[in-house]
Amino acid sequence: MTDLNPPSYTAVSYTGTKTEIFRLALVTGLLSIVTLGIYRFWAKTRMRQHIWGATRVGQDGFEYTGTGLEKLIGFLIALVVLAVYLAVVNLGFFALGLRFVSRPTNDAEVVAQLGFIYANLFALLPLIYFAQYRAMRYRLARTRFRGIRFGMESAAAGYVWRALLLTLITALSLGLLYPLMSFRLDKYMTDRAWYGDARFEQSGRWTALYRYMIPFAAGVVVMFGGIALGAITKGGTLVTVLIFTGVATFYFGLIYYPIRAAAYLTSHRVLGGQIRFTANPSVWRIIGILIGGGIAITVIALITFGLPAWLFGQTLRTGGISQLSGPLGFGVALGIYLVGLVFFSALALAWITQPLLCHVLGTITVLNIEATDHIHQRAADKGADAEGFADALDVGAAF
Amino acid sequence: MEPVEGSYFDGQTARRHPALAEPSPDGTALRLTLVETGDRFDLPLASLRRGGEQVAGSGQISLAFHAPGEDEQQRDPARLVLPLGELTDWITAHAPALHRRDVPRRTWIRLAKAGAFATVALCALIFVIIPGLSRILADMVTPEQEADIGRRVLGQIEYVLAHGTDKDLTCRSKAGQKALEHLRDRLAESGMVTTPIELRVWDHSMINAFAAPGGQVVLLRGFLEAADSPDEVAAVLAHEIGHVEAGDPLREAFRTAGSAGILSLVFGDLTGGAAAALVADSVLSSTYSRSAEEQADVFALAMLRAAAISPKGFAEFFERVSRLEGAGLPEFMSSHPETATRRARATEAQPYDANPALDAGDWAALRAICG
Repeated sequence: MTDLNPPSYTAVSYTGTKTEIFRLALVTGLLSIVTLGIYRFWAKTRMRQHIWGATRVGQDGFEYTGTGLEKLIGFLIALVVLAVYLAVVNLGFFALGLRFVSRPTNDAEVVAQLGFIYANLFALLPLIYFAQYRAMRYRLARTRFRGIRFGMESAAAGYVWRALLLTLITALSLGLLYPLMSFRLDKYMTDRAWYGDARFEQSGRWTALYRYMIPFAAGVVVMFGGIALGAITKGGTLVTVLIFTGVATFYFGLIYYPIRAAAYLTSHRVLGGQIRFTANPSVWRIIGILIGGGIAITVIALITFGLPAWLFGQTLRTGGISQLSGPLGFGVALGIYLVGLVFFSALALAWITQPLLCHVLGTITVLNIEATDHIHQRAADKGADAEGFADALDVGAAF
Repeated sequence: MEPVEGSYFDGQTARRHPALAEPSPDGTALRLTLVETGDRFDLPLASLRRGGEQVAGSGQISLAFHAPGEDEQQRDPARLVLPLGELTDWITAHAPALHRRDVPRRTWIRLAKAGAFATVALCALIFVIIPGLSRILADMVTPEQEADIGRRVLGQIEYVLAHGTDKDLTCRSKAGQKALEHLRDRLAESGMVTTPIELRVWDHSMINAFAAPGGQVVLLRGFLEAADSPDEVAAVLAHEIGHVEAGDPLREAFRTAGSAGILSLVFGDLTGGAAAALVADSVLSSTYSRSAEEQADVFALAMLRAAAISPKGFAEFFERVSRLEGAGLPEFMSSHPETATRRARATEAQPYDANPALDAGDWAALRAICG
């Protein structure tokens, strides 16, 4: 009956400005340096408060309710677990790896030696996946819309073994099954996410993502076609054109896939069986933002920071070095490096992240938002480690 | 003041309730009237908090209400959204705790506990558990494996000292190498060298000497230039051989491997570059424990005595270098026993007959080894 009515469309928008985000990033970044990194938990919290607040569905904004204090506490606890794990894994692999360091004599030993080097890397993967799930759960638990909490089920273990298995499958298939991995992992999280007492659901099929790999695959084919042709004909204009086109298409595909795949996944999300979403970001627009932002950042950074830094370097070289060697010189250089880093990331937030948020969020539409009227509040989530693992491993999102 | 229409979200459902807001008659509260039901309630100004960030251009603010309990911000889940205007100006001017961040009960205790726990656990890990495990694991390494690690460690340090190039730093003048062998043999006369020592000089101006796993000992040109006599070189060399004989370099390699990454965990991404720089630095001025240093000193003095080399150079050299160096302490200076202690240790021993560690010709050749 009610299905006969066309659904309502509510636009999502991002109202933040370059100036605000730049100032916030600069101030919190400098505070983080001065406090030897302790303030970074508050820095991240304030950045989220800002971005959540600037994101609106219709006229209602999101609210981020996390606190810097709970992040610091979560980090301290995660730190100990990770330090013990790292120490044991490092020492174990160093000792085991020694069995193979004496020059390998045959291929099997070479493989075993390489295996150990990568096994060391692989040992961190379970923790990284664990941290990713917990970080998402914490972010949702601290997100509100119209006073109602988002949330995510406590199911990190299931995520970890699925992610490890899918990583292995993707690697064995030489990346051909990557869409399966990105779809399944996204679905695992989405299907466990809630808004109030309404559940999110990821519909759609993983095979649908393959069409977004076409530019990427075409780039690879053309590139190798050019290389093969070059091997036969010993060069020529056609070979150069083919390889160049192939490489350009390949890089375009690298940007195209994640954008269109994310748009597909968003457009196939359902909340509480009634509320749907559409997303239609423009790949060309995003490439334009990346290139334009990159140029703007380079120019601004060169003028405002590169020049003084270069002058400082010249002073060091021409005799000033005697006063500035040793720990003092190291400290000054480190200070300049860190301030430069903060400045640069603030520029990147203002000139790349901000326009990206503005464009991507601006293409999202919520269908049938009236249905949220019947969504009830959910119980508070203590937030467990407050994504301390993600902070310690530095695998959390940029904000 | 005219009532202002805003949106009230009751924190129970996501439904928007139109509401009229105005100052209460006595001016101590915000009076809210729900349009649909006519329900009216007063919210004390002292309980008002800002709900979420005010973003310029949004034209509205969101208000929350203080309510002690489970909530991470100690707020009631309800929110009131008002358009910016005369009323919100009045609220901003009169609500005393609008920007207060209320902290849940016991948070400070939890922070203190977590901080103490992390400090104790990390200290135990870094100063007790990792060194202990390193000791056990280092004992399980075969000499061939150790030699291989030594080569790789030296390769890395050489790469750093050559400013990131593959330049070969080893000095190879014929007479200089001869002199180096004489010096090694002279110390071997003590009968205290049980591990084969591979000795070399690198062409670098830093005043430093260090031992790597596998009996590799490196003297830097800067060190030879700073030394006044072959006895001084012999004394520092004996100290490094002391580390080799005690197996310190291999244990240190394990300890570094075990601690890798922990520092950058603590300081986070922001100072990631700084941590990397510190680690690279610590390879050069590699710090053994104080007791390891003292044992190497004791070993060196015994060795000098057994090889009939004067211990005077031992105290003198450290003393001169400590005055000369403002910064960047070399390995044999860092985590050092106090210079005075060293001097006392060297001079209080029973005097004995000594011969120079090298003759004048060898000493000149050694100093000219880098050409």
